[in-house]
Amino acid sequence: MQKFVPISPKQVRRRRVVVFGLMILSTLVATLKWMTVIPSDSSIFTQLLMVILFMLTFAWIALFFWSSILGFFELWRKRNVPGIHWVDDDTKLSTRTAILMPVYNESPTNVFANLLAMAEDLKKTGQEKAFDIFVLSDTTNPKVWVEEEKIWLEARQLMSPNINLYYRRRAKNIARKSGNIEDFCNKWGAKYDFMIVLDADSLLSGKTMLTMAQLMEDNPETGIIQAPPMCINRNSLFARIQQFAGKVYGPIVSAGLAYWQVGDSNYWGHNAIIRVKAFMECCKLPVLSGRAPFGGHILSHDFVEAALIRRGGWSAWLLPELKGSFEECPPTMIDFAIRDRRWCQGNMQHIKVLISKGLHPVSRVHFTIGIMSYLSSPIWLCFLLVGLMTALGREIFPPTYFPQSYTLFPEWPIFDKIGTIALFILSMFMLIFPKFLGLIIYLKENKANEIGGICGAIKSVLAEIIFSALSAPIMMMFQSKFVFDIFAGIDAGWNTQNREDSGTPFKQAFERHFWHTLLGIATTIIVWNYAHALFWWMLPITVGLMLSIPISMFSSRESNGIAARKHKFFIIPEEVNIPEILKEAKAYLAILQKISLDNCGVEAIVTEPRLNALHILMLPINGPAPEFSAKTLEMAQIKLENFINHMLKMELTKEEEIALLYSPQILRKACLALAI
Amino acid sequence: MVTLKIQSGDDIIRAYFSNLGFSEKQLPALTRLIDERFGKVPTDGDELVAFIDAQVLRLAKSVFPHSVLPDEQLLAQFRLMFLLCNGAQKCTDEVLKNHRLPEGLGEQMRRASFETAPGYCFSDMVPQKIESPKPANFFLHLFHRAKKD
Repeated sequence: MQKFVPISPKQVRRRRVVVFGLMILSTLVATLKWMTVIPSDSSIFTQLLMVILFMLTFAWIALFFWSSILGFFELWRKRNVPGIHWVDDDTKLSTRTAILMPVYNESPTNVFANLLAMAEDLKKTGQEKAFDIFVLSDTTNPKVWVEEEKIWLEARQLMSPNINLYYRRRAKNIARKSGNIEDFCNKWGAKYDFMIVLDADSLLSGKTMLTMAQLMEDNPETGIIQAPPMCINRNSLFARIQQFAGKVYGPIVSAGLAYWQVGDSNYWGHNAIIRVKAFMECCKLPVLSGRAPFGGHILSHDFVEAALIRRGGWSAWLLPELKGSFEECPPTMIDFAIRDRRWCQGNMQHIKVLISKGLHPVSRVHFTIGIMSYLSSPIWLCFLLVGLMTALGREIFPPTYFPQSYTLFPEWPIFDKIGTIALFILSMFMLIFPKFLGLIIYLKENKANEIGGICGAIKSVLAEIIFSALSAPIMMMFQSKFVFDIFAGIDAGWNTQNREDSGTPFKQAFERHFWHTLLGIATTIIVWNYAHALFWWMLPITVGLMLSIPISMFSSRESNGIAARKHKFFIIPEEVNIPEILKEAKAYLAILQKISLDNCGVEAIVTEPRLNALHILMLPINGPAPEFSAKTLEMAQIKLENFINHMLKMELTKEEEIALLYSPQILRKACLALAI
Repeated sequence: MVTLKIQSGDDIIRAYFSNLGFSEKQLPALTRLIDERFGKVPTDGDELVAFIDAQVLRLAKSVFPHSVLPDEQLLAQFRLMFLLCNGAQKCTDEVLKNHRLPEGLGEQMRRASFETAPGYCFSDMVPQKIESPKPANFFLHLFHRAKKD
């Protein structure tokens, strides 16, 4: 059992003063230095702009740096997050917890394999009866809908009889994931004390889920407990680098955040437990005024829910002590960027929420951090552009050495080269040093063998730094475009995230990175010809951009990831000592993958009597049928009749297929007709 | 509506019971029984299917006497459980004759039955407001304070 560490509000304030004080102080010092470094012949407007942009960029780096440093000391001293009461492992639960798995056109085999593994792991705790599992489907693809039903039935039979595995699908996806959870709360929330919210790729060990529920019971003022998720299971080089970074640097980042957030933490949308009462009292999200992308339903609902729960007087905790919390990261740089586009829009929407009334100041900091994590890219881009323009300007309009007549002494433009190098080194140090601190924690705890041994770990950290440096400008360009798109009113929509290791083909890489490459080449040529002094400064950025297509393609390959692993690069502890839950998930996946999912959709419903009965049985729980025209249904019936009577391929449109799936009498009859 | 390609009434009866998992060997007896009970040549498939449904529904109600499901879903539940428990292998045409399942099968089906989701327990979430402070209000507030001071 973990120890209870008391903390007073004064101590909490002191922690925040330390982190933000250090951030402000280091930003001020660096900015003052920067002011002396800016070429003296620049216009006052340019100088002011460069100071503001530098300050914003540096403050961002400084917050990350100081938070990590304090996180490092917390881990070094093995201190628990204070202010939360821990309980004995065998404390019996007297409450009920719903485990919620919201899905949207995801692979049902993967989702249910993970759920089966989690149930199996819960069974080992002996307290599985306190948990029910709900698959809350928002799936719009009719084929995936039928697959979900089919796999659900199989999973039910594999599941421990002490745990209920429920399934319901919403006909209308109002307010996306937050609406999905709200729908659950409205219908069943009153039956449960807590809910553990998952993502389609989430995996939580039974012990972690039990501990979370126990903590909620023993800390009645707690609204949310977030277990930091670790990335696992992927094999592409890109994903393996992300996994390694998360595993080695993630703990000090989490510990750093927990250090200053204490009971005012954030919620990341999944792998967290929420008190249903608190959620129902505080988290019915309003629709923001105006049109998408800033108005409409709140996309990144998690931050807002945490802020509202906090506003309601409940506490929210990030507990790095909770291990056994996993997720999967996007397999390629492009998939990562696609996810980032959605997140970016969600975070930009928070600009509207940031200044709303009654929020806790720390909640406002969370929103600011979220917004800045995307705005920092265009800020950095502007910073580079201003610097480049200044240098080019000097080439085009050479400095005037004798601005006034009748003077004996020329006015030399002052450029402090050493000062600039010092600031550059400082920034690099602040970005890179925390990575080594993460490594030091592993070495201190003699766990280097879990990340490829001392040699393997060091070379992986160095390789990760090189990869980050090369990919940073590419991500900067992606994120800058996202921000500009959002401000131009372009909505991201709602697409399913790719979770499979599939390499990026050249065509896709070319389409996505063509402009990055072009920009990299153009900048290099311009800098070489007109601002030669900047050439070496710009090289780390231009190289990344010029090589964006090969970097994106190379890092997306599974074979490269596997080869890296063979050479002890980017090993994570979960690959050395595989946790039981991962083995179970893999075993269940193998079982579920044997189930044929060919021709799912209406065809499966009319050809498999068991599935036909199941689908009709489940229709009422899936809510009233969505609206579709009589013509759609008529057309669908004609295609179905042709399939039955002449074995012609159905080729139904999505609307036609959905219309048929909501017509139990037709499905029943078709199933009979096919048996004749 | 989908048109059933009817060769004869017997085809429909055979299709109905083969969908419940009955084998070719069992089908003639079941067909004969339904034919006798129906007592006429069916004019359309729907009428015959509705008649068999009524027979099966009687069985369903005996297996799930406390079910609150509408008939369509209760029938679907019976079909599903019957298939999952391999009911056809444990039954003969006697089932329809006596409107009773063999001993143990009903119990097995009840045990195997499940809820797709628990019964609703409706409760509303409390709507929240996210209000940005209006500059006009801010100045009013400032003015008001200044006056008080």
